[in-house]
Amino acid sequence: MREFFAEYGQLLIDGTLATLAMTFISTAITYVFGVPLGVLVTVTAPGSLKPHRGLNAVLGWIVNIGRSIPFIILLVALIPVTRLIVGTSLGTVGAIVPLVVAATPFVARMVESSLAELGPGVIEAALSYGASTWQVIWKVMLRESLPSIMRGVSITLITLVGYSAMAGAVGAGGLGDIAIRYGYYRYQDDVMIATIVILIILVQLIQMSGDLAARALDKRNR
Amino acid sequence: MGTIYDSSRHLLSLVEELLESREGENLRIDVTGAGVGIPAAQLDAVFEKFTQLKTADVVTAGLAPQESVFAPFLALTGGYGLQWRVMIQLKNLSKTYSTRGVEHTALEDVSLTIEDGDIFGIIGISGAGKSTLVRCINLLEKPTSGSVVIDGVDVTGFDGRQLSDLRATIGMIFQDFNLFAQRTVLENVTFPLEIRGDDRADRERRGMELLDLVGLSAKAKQYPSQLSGGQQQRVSIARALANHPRVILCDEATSALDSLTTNSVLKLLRQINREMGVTMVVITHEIGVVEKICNRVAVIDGSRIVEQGMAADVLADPSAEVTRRLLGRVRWDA
Repeated sequence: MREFFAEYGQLLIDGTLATLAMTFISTAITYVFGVPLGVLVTVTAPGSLKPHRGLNAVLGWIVNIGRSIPFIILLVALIPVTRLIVGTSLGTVGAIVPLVVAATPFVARMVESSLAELGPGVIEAALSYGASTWQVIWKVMLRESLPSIMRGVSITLITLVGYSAMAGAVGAGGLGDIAIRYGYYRYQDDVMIATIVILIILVQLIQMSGDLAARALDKRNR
Repeated sequence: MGTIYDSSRHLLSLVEELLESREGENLRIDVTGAGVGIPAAQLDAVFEKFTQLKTADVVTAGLAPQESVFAPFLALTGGYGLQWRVMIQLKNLSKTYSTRGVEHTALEDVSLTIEDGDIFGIIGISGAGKSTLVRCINLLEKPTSGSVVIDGVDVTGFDGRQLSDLRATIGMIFQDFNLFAQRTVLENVTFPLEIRGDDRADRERRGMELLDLVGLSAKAKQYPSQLSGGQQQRVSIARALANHPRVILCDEATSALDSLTTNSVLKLLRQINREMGVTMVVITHEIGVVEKICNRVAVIDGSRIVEQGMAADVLADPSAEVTRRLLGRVRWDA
């Protein structure tokens, strides 16, 4: 055991940090795009605040197409785009572009479903007090849905932990990279098992803190 | 006693102006005429003021103040006439929805006049069009044709900023309260002020004032889920008052409450009407609500107004079939 840690400890620590960096940075950037996209899909829907059949259909299509492409294909297909944006398609930085592209439509749908949980009543109440569309979105829809959106953040983080492991296959680094290089190519089961254990712990921690945060934010059922 | 309420104050200043301009003459103020209602307490205040003036001889033609009946014209024998102020006028309002080419009529040629200080009941069975009607007043629903006139201004075509400003002067309360679950009670009450851009200290002061009025200042920092239904409706009434509205629209405000809580909420609404002179439009399917607080009533059935008048008259002698049914005067399983 001691020998194992002496030999692979640093490797696993570096891998874990790389995975965490990819996951958290990608999630943060994803929400910058995903929340506005989800809001736009919601408010342009028929019967919503600013119904716009055409825009709504186009956005819906874009989101669906984004979600249809298997991540591993997207990863390879986006290599030239990634190089253009961040200068490299390798390493932690190179993984962020495909992760964001893959997760944005996913987050948009989750934000949309969080917003849909909100009944039309509170929106109508806000409008009846003279709130503008922007105020309804910001002060009512997003604020009232915050706990639900928070739950979506932990789901996204966990999904991206998985995706980042896949990105390891094309040179992104992190735990996935280690699992493939040592565990798969070199038949070192102990390293592979170690990465899996770390991944399980990561997922548990993310889920737990996400639940705690959502519960702390939610003022209902007190 | 002795408080002169908002709308009566308007009336009184007109009376005083006339008395001043015709000083020394023995004026006779005649408040008889076609019936238009104002709340009894307001009428009491007007009569009290008349007595104080001592220059005028008030003729009520047998109408006791508690009958809540006033005249559209306060005719002075010198040929002067005073018109009671109209707060909301709906003219030939129609609303049709079309879903996939199928037209559905929610309102058909509805005309109503709601006067300043009224508690105006709009009663009807489910699906009669009451909710659509009340939403046309603050244009949450855009009428297909006809016009909405608020305090003398045709607002039918309002949008954007103009519409927001109009809505800010019209409070609204709902059957399901529609409070913001993630905001404290105080933040709920001050929401209308927050969106107007008032600063925090000002709006919190006003918010606490209103929570005091509805008897919930101790709950300011709690969340709506911690309150009972009646308390939640009181919070939403405080929220509706935040902006000093001219009108409050009540959409089935007591339908989700038990009968005791209903009574306390109705008393609060009546108190607000009397003390602040806020005009109320009360949508309901319960005849009891009309009996208890409304001075005037319109009965809506099948998207049309089938009957309207003084609440007391309509309840005593209903002419429409649906009114008799709502009053329970038709055998329920007939």
